[in-house]
Amino acid sequence: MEEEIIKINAIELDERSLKTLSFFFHKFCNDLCIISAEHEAEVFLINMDSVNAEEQLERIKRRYPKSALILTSIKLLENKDHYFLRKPMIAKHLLAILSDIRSLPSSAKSSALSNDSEVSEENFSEGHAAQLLNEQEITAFVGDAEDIDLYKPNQIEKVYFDPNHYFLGFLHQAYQLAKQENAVVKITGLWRPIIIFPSENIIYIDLTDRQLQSICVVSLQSEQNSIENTIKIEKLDLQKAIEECAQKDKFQNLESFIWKMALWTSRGRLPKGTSLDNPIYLSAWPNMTRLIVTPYAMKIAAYWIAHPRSLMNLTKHLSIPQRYIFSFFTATYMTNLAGSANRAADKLILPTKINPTSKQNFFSRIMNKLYSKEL
Amino acid sequence: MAKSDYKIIFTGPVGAGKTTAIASISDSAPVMTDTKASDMTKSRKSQTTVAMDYGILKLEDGEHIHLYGTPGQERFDFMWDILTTGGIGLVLLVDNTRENPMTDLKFFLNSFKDFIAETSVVIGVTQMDNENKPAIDDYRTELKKMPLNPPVFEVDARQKKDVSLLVQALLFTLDPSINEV
Repeated sequence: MEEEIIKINAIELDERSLKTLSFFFHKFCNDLCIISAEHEAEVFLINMDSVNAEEQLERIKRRYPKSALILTSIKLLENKDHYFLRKPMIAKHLLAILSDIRSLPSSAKSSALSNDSEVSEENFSEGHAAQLLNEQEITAFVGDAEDIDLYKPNQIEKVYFDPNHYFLGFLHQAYQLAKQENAVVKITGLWRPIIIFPSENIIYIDLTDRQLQSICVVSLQSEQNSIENTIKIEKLDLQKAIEECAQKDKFQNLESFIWKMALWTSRGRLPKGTSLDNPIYLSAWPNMTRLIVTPYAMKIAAYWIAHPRSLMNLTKHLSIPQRYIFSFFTATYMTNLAGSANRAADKLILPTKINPTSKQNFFSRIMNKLYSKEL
Repeated sequence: MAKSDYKIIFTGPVGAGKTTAIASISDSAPVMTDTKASDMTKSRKSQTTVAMDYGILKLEDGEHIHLYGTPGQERFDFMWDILTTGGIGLVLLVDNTRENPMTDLKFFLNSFKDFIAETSVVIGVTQMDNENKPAIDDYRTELKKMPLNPPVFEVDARQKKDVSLLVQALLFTLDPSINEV
């Protein structure tokens, strides 16, 4: 008997994400699910992290009241009416949902249930070389908020987040303590402890990227969340710390780790209290080959390194979406590469726009060539 | 100068990875002029570059960017001036497993200081997986004394992505207004 194909329409997913999803259906569902046009679909998968998500959700509910809806998001969504699939998607979770919606043949179920592969298979834990990010990954790191008018106070508050309301605040505290006192520092209260070795510039962490990303996006201020009260930071004797680090493959580069956590938490926002008007400095180029390189990161670094600039100045002169600049600032700030410029001279002279050189187009062509070699 | 005469210079001490780095991004198999090492170089590698390495990047419109690697041994430093003529920038690779990488850093930055003043430099630190000290922060601190503040990246010269990012950083230091793809 021929197995019936489940037709799924994906809403608010860009082209690259659609291709990834198609590949996932092909590899892990034996093509028993396919992406279809809206009018043919029996199931709708809606990306709730997109700006138009709510509007699209209401539209689909109105137009196709009998269809099953799967909502997907980086954030935990409370929704009892529809299925929810947390990003990054895991094959077996998606198939369990589809199984529930309609019975799947056992061949597809068994191949998927033994497979913990994620739709997005990138692992950022290695950090050996900066990776080309796809659209979904870019959104996970820099969010997708549109630019706001930075001269309107009622809009400005949207660009801020309080690191102390997230795990990032604890991580930053521990990092500062470790660096300032050159001491091994342990963070407990999560599923497993995290240990910072500042002199070796490494961190011991037995958590997956998926777990880490989940930790980053959850606000610790929620009443339902008691993690905040259990997280502790303490110095640890070096020998004792070494004994606790049983698995040698669980070490990561410290700077790369904090950079990644800062991006996941920030998602295009600034730490609360960051001035938009006062000049801030970038003390050195980040070690880009070992970090998540978000769009325009090199451009922002090159522009900023020469002279302290305010964030207002950077957004004005760079003409790129604010979220890329804000994410980059947050990551450099959390890794102690950026801070407020307090010298009188920094505020005396307003840095001007850097004009392109006569070789701009030529350099752009070389850049295109280098990018094409990376693909 | 004709567009096709532009070049990027790769320099650094023996064994830092210049030959490998050029090979990782060159469009054609790089021309390598190497021979059996005879002196103290022999303890670091069996073959060493005695003239120069050459690779090429072929751009879409037919232009070529020449990649030149300087011989690492100091007795060939008379060639360095010749090689830098027409160069758009310098990629300095430093081997972190050498006895004193900071001395190497200072030596090469001083040797090419006129060229760097006219163009730009980026620094790739190789072999950090074998020896993680000095750390990148240590290089930054040393450079600020010079005073310089170029990009300093950890690099595996065999990895195309690492070398590509290093060259991209060089281009951005030359012109921050380049349009990203």
